[in-house]
Amino acid sequence: MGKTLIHITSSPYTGLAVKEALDLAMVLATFEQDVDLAFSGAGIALLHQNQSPDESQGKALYKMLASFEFYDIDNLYLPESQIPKEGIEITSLASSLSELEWKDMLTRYQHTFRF
Amino acid sequence: MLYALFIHGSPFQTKACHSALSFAKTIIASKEHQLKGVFFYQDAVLIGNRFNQCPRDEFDIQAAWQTLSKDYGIELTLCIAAAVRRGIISESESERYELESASLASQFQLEGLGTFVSFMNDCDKIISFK
Amino acid sequence: MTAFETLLDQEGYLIKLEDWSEELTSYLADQEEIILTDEHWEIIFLLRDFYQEYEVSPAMRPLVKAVSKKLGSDKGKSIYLMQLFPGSPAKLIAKLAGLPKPANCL
Repeated sequence: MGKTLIHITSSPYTGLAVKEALDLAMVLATFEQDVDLAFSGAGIALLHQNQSPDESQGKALYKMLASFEFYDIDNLYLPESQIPKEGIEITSLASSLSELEWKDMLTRYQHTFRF
Repeated sequence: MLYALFIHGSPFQTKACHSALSFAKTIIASKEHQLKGVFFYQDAVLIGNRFNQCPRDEFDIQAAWQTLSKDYGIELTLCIAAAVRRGIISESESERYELESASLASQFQLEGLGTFVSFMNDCDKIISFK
Repeated sequence: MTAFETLLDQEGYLIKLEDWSEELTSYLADQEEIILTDEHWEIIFLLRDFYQEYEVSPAMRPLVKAVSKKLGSDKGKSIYLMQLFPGSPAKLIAKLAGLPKPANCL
């Protein structure tokens, strides 16, 4: 059984897309599929430290992300070139990849789902 | 090859359900490929609302999928969690949530994402439409 | 007794998370014919902490891992949780802890 990549490119709080992408990741992991996550574009906002959405903005998805170690989802990637400049810190759960590593990573999966 | 389709774009705001329909028809028409089933996720589940009223002079994408399912025995599955939060409710969910009626259209069924995982394991390829 | 019932949905899960109390857990345990011991409470509080931290009710596998991490590998086993909470431990513990039913274990 090959590995699955869930690639998040949408902003976490503008709709349900990211919440439902994380739900899919959790279900896949629960069914013992090998899942990694990649973030780029607007999706990187989910990796920012110190978020505090209120109830109407949606569930605190970054908290959900922190629980992924219990699901054996250990690899969260983002491209180095898209790390935000000054003032915003990225969660230590994610590892940044050089352009080459990023491209190589994207080819390693049997299934890729983009949200 | 054995295929399953994974549709997650809204039937109203995107052409995901339309593109997937042509893809499904192509698989069915070909000799060397088979279609295992179709899984609708996110806003794509809106296709399964039996109260949808398509204007008479427009293409009825819901009816087109229902016909395909009937004619070729293709299973159309909506993610239960995604469907229920959007008001697509089967008879049994209607009872569970103590609602007055159900809204799931015929030929569609509600299942957990686990069904999709088994598609992933059983099929050679999953094709996404967003 | 009926005061508790009005707080629950048809399947016996708490509707509003803020209505939880230890008395409610005891009432629900009665309904499930479970006699609560310290070992039960330890897991129930662990799940409440888990939800507080991550805002998600875990399915069985992550639950076992979380128990293992917090209480040690002797308790972090499906069989241990099954003995305390027979049937579907992840659902049952969530119910007793006044948390949402774990999604996607249908």
